[in-house]
Amino acid sequence: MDTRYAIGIDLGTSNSALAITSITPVSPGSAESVQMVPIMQLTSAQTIDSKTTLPSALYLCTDQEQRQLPTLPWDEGQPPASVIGRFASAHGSLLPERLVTSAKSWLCNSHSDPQQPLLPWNSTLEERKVSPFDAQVQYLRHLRHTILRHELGSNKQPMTAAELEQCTVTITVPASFDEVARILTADAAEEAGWGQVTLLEEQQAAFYHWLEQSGDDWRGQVEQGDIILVCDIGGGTADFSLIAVLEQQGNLHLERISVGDHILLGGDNMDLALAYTLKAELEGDGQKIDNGQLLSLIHSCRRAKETLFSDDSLDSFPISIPSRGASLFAKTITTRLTRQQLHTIALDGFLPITTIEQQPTKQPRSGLKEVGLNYASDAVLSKHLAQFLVRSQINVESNPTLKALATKCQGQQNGIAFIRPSAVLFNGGIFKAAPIRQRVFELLQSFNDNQPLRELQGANFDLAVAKGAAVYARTSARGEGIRIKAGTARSYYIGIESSMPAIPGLIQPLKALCVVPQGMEEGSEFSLDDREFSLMTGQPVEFRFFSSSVRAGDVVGSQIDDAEELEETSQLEITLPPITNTSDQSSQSSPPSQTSQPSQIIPVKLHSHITELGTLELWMQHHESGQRWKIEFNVRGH
Amino acid sequence: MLSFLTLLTIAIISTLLYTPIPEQFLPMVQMAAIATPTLLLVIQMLNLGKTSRTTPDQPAEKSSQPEQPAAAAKAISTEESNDAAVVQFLARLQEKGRLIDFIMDDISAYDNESVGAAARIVHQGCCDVLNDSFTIEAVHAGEEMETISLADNYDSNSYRLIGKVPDAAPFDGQVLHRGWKTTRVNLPQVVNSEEHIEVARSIIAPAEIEIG
Repeated sequence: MDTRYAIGIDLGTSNSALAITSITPVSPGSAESVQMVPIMQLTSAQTIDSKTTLPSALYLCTDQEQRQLPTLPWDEGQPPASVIGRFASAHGSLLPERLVTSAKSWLCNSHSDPQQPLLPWNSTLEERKVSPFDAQVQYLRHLRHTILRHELGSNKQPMTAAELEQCTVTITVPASFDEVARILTADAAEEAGWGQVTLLEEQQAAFYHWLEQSGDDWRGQVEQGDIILVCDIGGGTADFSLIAVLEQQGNLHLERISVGDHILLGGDNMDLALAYTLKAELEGDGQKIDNGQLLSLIHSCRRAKETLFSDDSLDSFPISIPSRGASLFAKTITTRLTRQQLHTIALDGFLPITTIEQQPTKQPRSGLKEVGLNYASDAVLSKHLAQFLVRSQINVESNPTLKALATKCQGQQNGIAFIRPSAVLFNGGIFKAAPIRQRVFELLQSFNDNQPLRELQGANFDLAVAKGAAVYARTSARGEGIRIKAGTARSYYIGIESSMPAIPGLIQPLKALCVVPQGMEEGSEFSLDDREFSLMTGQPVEFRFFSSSVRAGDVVGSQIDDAEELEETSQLEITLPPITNTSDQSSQSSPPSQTSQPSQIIPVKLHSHITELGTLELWMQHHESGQRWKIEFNVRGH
Repeated sequence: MLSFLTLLTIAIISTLLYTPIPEQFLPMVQMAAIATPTLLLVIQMLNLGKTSRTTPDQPAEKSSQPEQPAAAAKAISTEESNDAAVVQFLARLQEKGRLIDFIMDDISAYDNESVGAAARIVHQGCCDVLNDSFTIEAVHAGEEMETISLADNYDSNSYRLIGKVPDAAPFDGQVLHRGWKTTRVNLPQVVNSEEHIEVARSIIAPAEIEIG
């Protein structure tokens, strides 16, 4: 029998990685290891090398470069217009007009349409720009080519495209991604040739990796009533999730009970803050730092941070910044990063010990602010963490089932209720530094009022997400193994105009109707029975679509009086074709058969369905004929 | 290139030995004195590799070979592609560690402080490049200056005996230098197509022109 494989893809904001494991047991008793797949990429203008991670950077080549840069084996000699990976990132940082980065964060930016050519943001090369969606497609295509050349098994044969179709593939997305960003990711994978993929939250993937490496031992490390905080801080993003441990019929079960917002703040911000501090010092001494030297300074600050955090005996880290020209002796600028500076900027600046009531400050946005990415305006990670724990409590409180899970872990300080996690699992490159782990641990402990808190051991800060995704893909392919009960991380609503008499000068609040409850699981379906919509065939109808991560108590049909309390996600659009007379019970949308038929008003009901792959589908169903039509998630940016 | 590096090593070591160096700069020059011979060693290893290409690399090369057009593969000699591999390794050392800038600059015109500051860039960058491609360890796991007894079947490639060496074992002596070895060689694949090979074996770092 041929070996089948499970593949995990960590499609990261700054780096991507690929892991593989065998679905069919290799041999009884042997360790079922998850392997990282080295990713071939240009490492310089002349060399190609395979590395564990692929920087999620897309560089748009000039015409000359396109002719002269080496091609990868799968380009088949056709020079591509863009390059992905290490060379793209290093070379492109000197040509920012041509470098696409952080494409992923644009997928969940509600102000712009991720399928429009937006990137590189602020670039003047208008005709070369690519959409965030296309950039993701290109990264995924690169990863697919990689796996098709990866040698497997005892005969060291790369798998064929047909064999790849037999694989189970999981792509991770941040828990904070809303349904539109999730669907865009699944669509990007399909367009890149991966076929149908399962989506998994990155923070859950990190947890699956922890379960895998703990083996049967994990049951000894947690107990019923625990709430585990997955604290995931990457280069440019921070994401938090809570996982509850419960006992059913003597077995321990896991349930993801809350997810945070997508916070654009991470380890890179620390490096930048350090570099700008030193730059200001140097400029105060009359030195001039150009852009290329600033890049070198940022790079050195990262190294200084890592070195000082890993070696307590050092008081400072000397930094030399080379000039751009060939003379190294005459023009090198020297400075140093002291431990005191590092402590003040990285620890006290980003992770001070704050109290639970200190929430991130939102800077008032001026009317003319350019759109761009929605970077966190408050750089204090501690406050974002506090906000998450308070919002989680609001979410849990709204649902009696969740509330029962969290009874042991409820905290209260100065009248503010919050979830008090009893254990923490760290993930993300920033946590390789022990002092940063320790600081977050102290922060949680100070929130906790000195209730016990443990750090779950055995994390792999860089590769846990890809490996955990492969483990999850294997578990779902085998249909056995421990699963975290999760379902949708958010609840979703459509906007309904209030039927009140119009009053001049008064804008009627938009009401919202819950169509997908939080925690709705894969494969389940709901119908909004007590509400019938009368839609005109042949005419496009739009609905406003909202979501919330703190309303676990809402069920399908719950009504919210003012949709402003929710976050607007996108628009929904549907155009009903004329009803055909055949009363076949097909569940597929039928193409408009005859345009000559007059428009008619037909009554329909809304159905929601979470596919087995974890994506949301909304349908309008006509009861009499049994026909139904899929509602499209309209692209964003209205 | 080799002789050049050798000269530099000698220059730095003589600076270290014969020139009075203010104490605060001593570590920097020492660092340079260590870094340069290490590089020399690496480049020598690369040269040695010319005749007997290390096995770990071969599967990767094989897998990429069939995709090259047959004509282009024929047109490039082993010597050309080996040259390209060394030049591109130098290119990496220049790109990350500014090694060529360091060596091509006139060192005599500068004080030790300037040289030391530059050495830091070279050390940090070259260290990254070496760690990327090699896993470098000491040949002799123990300490330097400790005594050692080698049996008859000692590995003469790993240990070089000097001084009053008898004809037969036991060889009792003192470890002067621990030696270096690499347990992994993972050089990036230099693109070996006809149109690239000349560039790959000549350009170490292109001139940089800023537009706008």
